[in-house]
Amino acid sequence: MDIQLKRGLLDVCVLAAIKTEDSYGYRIVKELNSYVEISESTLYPILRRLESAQFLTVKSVEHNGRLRKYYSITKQGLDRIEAFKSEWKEIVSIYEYITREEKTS
Amino acid sequence: MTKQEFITNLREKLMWLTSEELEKTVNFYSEMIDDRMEEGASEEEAVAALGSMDDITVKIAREVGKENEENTGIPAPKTVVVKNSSENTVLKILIVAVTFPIWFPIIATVLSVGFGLLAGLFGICVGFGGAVIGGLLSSIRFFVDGNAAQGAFMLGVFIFSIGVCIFIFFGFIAACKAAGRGIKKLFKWVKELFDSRKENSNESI
Repeated sequence: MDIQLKRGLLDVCVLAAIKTEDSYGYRIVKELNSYVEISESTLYPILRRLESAQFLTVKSVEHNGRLRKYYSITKQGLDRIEAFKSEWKEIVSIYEYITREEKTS
Repeated sequence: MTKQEFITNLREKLMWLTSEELEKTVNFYSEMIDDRMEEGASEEEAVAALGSMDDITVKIAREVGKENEENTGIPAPKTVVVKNSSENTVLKILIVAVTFPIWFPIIATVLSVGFGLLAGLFGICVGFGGAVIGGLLSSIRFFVDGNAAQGAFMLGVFIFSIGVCIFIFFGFIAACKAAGRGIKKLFKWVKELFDSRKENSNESI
């Protein structure tokens, strides 16, 4: 997949991974890997970016005698997913325009 | 690589981050390793699963650097420092060539003195080796001839020479080793002076 396209998609994918319940880094990587290839080195900058954009918040929770960071989606994060969904409709119509000749021929 | 080695390596590579940012990054990767180990992976496997150190640091540099650039206008740091450019190497060769009349006599003198000392030590060792043999033979001769006093004296010379010989011999070996190390270090230093590293480029996300 094109790098620029994947970069934009991954941000929304990470938000989608914490949409229904808070999650932690390793679980996000495992969950997303069933759909799109993502490594820890890719996830970390995305989480940083989403946090500074206030699309998610981070809290440390004690787990097995150590601290684990849980990421929770914010109102802005949920709005971002909604915005992506409407952008996607636009992308679909662009896709239909690009492939229209193939369909008619 | 163990977790500790990985973390130490990561800290060294990301020294340019603020301490808060560095701690956050280290904690993230440390948590990833712990989570994988909790799931049954060995320490080595958990570290290996994180991918290459270069990939990790390049992606962080790109993200943090982009942010800083937007905020402060200061360009992002390079993850791999370019030590010498080719022009630098040419300049260094020129300097070495021009200063040849200065450094060559110094190095030649140091090497000659060093070699002279080693040869001197070896000579003393051989000399006392001769005294050992001579002392033993003459002592036997004196004893056979019934000259006990002179025989005992030469026996003393023999034992004394053995002692000195052993002492100087080990000194000679140690001096040779030290000279070897010194020459090796000198070559390494000269090599490093001309060593140039290329900058890594990474086009992945």
